Amino acid sequence: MISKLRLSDIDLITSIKTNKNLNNAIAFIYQEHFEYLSSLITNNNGSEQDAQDILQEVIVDFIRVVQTGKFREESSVKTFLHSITRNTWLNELKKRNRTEKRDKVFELNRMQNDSGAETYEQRESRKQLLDVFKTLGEGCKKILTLFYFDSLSMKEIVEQTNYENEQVVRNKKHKCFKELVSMVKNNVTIIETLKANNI
Amino acid sequence: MTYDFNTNIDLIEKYIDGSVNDEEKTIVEELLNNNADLQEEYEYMRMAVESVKIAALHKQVGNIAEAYKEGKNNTTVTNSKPAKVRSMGFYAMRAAAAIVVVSASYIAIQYATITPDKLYASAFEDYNPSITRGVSKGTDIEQLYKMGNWDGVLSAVSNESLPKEKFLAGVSALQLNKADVAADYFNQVIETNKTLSEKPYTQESEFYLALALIRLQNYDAAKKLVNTIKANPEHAYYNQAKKISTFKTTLLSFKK
Repeated sequence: MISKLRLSDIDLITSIKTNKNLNNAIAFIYQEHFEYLSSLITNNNGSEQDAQDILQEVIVDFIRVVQTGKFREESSVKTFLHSITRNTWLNELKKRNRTEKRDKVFELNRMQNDSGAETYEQRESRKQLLDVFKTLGEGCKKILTLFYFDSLSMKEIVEQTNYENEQVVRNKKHKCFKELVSMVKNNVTIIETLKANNI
Repeated sequence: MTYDFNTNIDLIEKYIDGSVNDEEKTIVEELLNNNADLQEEYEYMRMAVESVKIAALHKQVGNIAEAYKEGKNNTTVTNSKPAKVRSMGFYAMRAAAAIVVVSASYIAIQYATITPDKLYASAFEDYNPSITRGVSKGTDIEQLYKMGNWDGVLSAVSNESLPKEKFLAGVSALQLNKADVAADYFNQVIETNKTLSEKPYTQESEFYLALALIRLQNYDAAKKLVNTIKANPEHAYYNQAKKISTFKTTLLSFKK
């Protein structure tokens, strides 16, 4: 008999905050919340694919909110995820301009809202940041990910790449970072969000 | 102490990277409090770092979503009575929920417990040359292999050795937990055989190379090779390759 793995909200938040067993935490979110959150979308004019795409975005948002200390722990994880999913899907529907579906969408509007959720602009800014990063060259993507996401030292990056030594890695990382910052500066949406929300 | 704008920018990057000393930290924090332009640059840099983290997280979540989907599909396919779900209302919903719970639990448990060693052990079998090839005596290397003298095989094999001997050297290296050495010998056999009309020990080498790649945690290459073998029912290791779960190999790649 297979027993279901359990993580309390506190365990889940701790795992995300400390970045320990993050894969397990993400797998648990899927196990525990995917079906319910998915139904919020599929019951409101969304396809299975919409649900998968939106929930990937929602879970990334949730993790960053927790990691940056913005998650208000008085609300449950489920409530919070519900709220982000609802808002993200509503915004997506607005974008698609499905005015004929308003009656159905109205059902979503009546769903419980949670004040802990982020603003539309903040989520939109995250999407823009993702798009900006995607336009970087593969070499820069790799070195910046190893440094800023995997938190590897220059020495460890040398071991995982073909760069000759730490100084070469340091120079390359500096150059890539400058390029990325420059791309961020040139993105109007990010700049406006930054100024409007002070994030 | 005075700095020009570019020096300050570099210092702020160091600050963001967490590589400033205490003195530099104080300087940066004073600069950020008193200079709006630098404060703005600092925010751009923070956003740049955020973009790296979001992109990496997006990929990580996407990988797990794929595994979740794959596990769900696997469970649905292997369940022999899905048709009842549509026709039995309440009970159907319960059955569907049970499938979801079991599949999700299955993924979570597999993810938590799978290791390269376990996956390797699930498919590895001692290679016995006398059984599979009907060789009665064989070369010195074969004799050493039959005696289980793995070190002896590795000492005796050379560039001039036959494909079979190199293959046996590969298996011997696997027995000694030298997966990198093993992979090298199997690759040599496969490469050499590419130019030959007959390809002795290519299929054997492909299967054991896949096992070596699992040990080396090169899961993408292992999966590709295993899928090639599984796609060919005529392959000598077709049945054995089926013991190597693509799903588990994918899970392992997320644990790297």
